[in-house]
Amino acid sequence: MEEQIDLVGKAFIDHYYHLLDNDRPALSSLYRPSSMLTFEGQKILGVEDITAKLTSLPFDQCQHVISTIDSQPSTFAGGIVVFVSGSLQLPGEEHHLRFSQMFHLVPVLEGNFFVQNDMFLLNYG
Amino acid sequence: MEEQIDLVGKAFTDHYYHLFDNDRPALSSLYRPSSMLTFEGQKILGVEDITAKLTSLPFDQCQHVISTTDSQPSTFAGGIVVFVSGSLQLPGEEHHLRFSQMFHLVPIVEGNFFVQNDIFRLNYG
Repeated sequence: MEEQIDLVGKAFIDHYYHLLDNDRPALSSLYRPSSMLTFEGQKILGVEDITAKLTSLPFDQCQHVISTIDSQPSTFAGGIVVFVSGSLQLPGEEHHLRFSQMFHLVPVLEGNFFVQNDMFLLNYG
Repeated sequence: MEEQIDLVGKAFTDHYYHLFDNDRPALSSLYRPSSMLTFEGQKILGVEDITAKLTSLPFDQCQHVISTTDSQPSTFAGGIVVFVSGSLQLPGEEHHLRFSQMFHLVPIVEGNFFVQNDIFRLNYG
């Protein structure tokens, strides 16, 4: 059972960061009106405002390099919590930024998931 | 609504880390047979094995210093996801260890919560 969860978590993460690094507006497909994002302490509610935040970040290009992905089933029927750590490389920046992020994924029809909860933090020092 | 969630999340993490740093066996009160812990990639299921893991860590004393606590309501009725970052100080160690941790809290009667999902990672580099 855990292996299935790990596969689903990793597949989602790969897809999410691929979109974030290559087609940021397409991230809107992963959120719903009920979704919540906390980005470096700032709270944002709903797919429209979340997409606006992610597409307005002050860099055009970025690359996420994922170090760890931990997944567990949440209590919500079929839900999954995913905890990610990695680094973020911005063009022109000599040092990469380390970050942690957690997602709570809720299933929709067709075996897909949307992001109900999303929390992102840079890891300093 | 968010403010209530923030208060609950912070109250829980204050309580959790106080127990962890002062009365580690008492952490068993916060887990159930369905609880899952992923500790540095190792998966542990159920209150007994989780308590055994936490009380057998290779240090007698530690102190958690919390930097950030972000909370959001999860989809499960009354559930809360909490994302924590901070540092862990061990006696005799010159440098503290930075960590990130996420909890998915599920309400029980009397207004309390138990930990359904717990994922802990040290932050390196």
